[in-house]
Amino acid sequence: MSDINGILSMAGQALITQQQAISVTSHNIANVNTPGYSRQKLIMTSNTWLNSALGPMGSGVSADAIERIYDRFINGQINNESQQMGRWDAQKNAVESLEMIFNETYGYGLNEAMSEYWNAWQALSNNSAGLTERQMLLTRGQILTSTFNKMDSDLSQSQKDLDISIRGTVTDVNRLSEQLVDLNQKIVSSETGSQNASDYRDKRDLVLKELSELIDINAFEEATGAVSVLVVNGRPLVSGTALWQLSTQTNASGLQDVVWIDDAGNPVNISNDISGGKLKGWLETRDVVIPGYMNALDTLAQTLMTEVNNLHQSGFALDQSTLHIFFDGTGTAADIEVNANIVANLDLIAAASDPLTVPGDNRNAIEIANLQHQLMMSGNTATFNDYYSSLVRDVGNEVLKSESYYTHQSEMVAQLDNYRESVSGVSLDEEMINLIKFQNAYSAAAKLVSTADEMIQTVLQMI
Amino acid sequence: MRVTNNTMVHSIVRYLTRQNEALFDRQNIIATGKRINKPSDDPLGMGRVLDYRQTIASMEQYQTNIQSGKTRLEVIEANLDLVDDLLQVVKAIAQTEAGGTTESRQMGAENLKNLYDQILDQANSKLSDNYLFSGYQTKTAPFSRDDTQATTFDQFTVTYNGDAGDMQFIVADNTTVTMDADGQSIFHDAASGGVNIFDAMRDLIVGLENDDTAAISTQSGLLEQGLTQIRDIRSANAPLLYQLKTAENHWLHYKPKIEDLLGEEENADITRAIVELQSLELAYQSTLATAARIIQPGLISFLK
Repeated sequence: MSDINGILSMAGQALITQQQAISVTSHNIANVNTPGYSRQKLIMTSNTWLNSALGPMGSGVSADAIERIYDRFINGQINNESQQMGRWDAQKNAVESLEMIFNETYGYGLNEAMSEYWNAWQALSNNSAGLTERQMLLTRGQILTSTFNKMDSDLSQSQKDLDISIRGTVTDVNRLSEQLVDLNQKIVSSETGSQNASDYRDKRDLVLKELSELIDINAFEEATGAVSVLVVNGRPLVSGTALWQLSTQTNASGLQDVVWIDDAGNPVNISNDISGGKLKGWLETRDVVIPGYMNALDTLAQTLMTEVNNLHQSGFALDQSTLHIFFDGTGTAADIEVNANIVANLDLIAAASDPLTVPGDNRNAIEIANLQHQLMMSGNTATFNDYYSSLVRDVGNEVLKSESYYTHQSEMVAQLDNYRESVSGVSLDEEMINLIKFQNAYSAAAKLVSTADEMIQTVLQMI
Repeated sequence: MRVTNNTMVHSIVRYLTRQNEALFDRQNIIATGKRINKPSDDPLGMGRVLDYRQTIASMEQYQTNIQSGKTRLEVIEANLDLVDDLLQVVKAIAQTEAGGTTESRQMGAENLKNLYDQILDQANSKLSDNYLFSGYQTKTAPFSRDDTQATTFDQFTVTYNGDAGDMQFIVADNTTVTMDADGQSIFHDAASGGVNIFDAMRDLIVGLENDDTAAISTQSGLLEQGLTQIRDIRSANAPLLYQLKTAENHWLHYKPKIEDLLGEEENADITRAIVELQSLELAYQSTLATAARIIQPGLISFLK
């Protein structure tokens, strides 16, 4: 190949190869901001030498392959941490909105409503037959019960809002699974030779990351290049081009459970087994956190109702009648209300403790007012107000906990993203250097062509 | 480590977000003047804030109760003081008329009839629509003169319509102060060995009208005892007033302390928040300046 034609052909191949390198570089530059993109590199090798009398004689360059710079373990780690990040992100947002229901920084909450209710009993004790005092007690009682009702309905509204998020997320999971199947198909069919479907793989990694922010998955690549995805308890979601769907079904509490549809089309409830992703955060808040708060409110409302009613029933109204309850309802925060008879007739408030001692007897009113300081809650270790304060504390702690888990997880994912970026990310400086390098090489190869051309001219002139 | 453009951009975004959050927090603290703006700002502190608020609300109610109690005691005292004065006049007339003439005794009797009515009025005093001396029967006049069919004064009797009830005021957690409201033991106590002031006055009047010196002296002695009976009640009320005032003073001193504690718990240290804000601002601006310098240039700016 040491003839002039050999030089020309080497120069031609060099031009093509450097041009390909510039093309790969421009692909990198173009995708500098594409999420999930892994930089690519043209692998160049020198051509096989030819033996000549002088020894092996080189025969130029050729492009071998386009390689995707990539660390397969990092993506697995990112997916794992994203599951927990998604979970705490969802839980943090959900409990932050719950916190507003319990926010009493500026007063007007249950704590204040209870204080005012007890104070109204004390005020009644100062003037046990007073219409104004009775009216005020009724109003305070109604404010107290409507505060209970409002908090309960706010909490169940939050549950319903989360329900909508859960349904939406299940749809997202199915959409992402479909995308995975589609990408699997494309990757398998375009990688029949030694080809590497880099860009499809980048997209697929991105979809997997999105998916793991939604639900805990276990993904692995099969020999064909297709990826298989398992959800909770090893149930397949995607295997090659086969697809399984998630769905929702209404449970006993009227909320949506997440189900996995098996091959026969039967739903399998996986709600309790989901352990990561936004679905976990929302399910946890909807099924564990909120019911916990609702139960605590119910316990408070029920004990308050029982204790006040017990005393009130043993007291006597202004018309000497007895056995009237003060609060009505089934013992839940949702439906506690002031006895309708009392609303209709304030005389039925029982301030006296003996039928013969009405109207001036305030002893029953005093007994009821004293309930405020008695240890009625948590196995007789806490007052009503103590119990509620500790509930508010729990809510605050739950928010703090979710926030700190979320911060921790998002830092972790950010670090891993940085690491991924340091391997696969596009550096414009680097690409510019490469561009100049390849451009120079291209110019030099062009120079080779003109040199060979001149050489041919020189030879031709000799004729 | 290989640092790419995106690494830098993402880091800068992350730092700026974090600093913005901190700035927003401080801004919130300064704007509201409160350190705790939601339970998660300090869950334990929030619990204490709620406890303090409830304590303060209770204390305010106790102060109202104590005020009601004091008013009642003061009104009772004013009533009994007047009764005391009236009885002294009665006693003075009885003593004068012990040696008086028949005519002057008749005049004394007429005077005493007026005093009798006045004392009965006092015994039926009300405070904001509630009778003070009828026990629990606060809507029933405690004393009624059964004179509808009476033709002469000697047939007058006074009946007690109340009961032995008392009146309690809540002055502290589970603590009450009890005041006597039983008019019988004050004015009409013949049954338990005391004096029925109304009967004694009636008999004194009848004695004067009948010119009966012995009866005048007997009833005069009984009224002397009646006066002591009234004064005993008054001196029994004095310690109650003291008890109420002590409780009132206690809350008066205690409340500002709890309010201080509440303030310490929830109010922001504004100076500190502002200093923190300034240092955060500095950090924020430095990050912005650094970002501006780092992001812009690349090799590309230096290539011709």
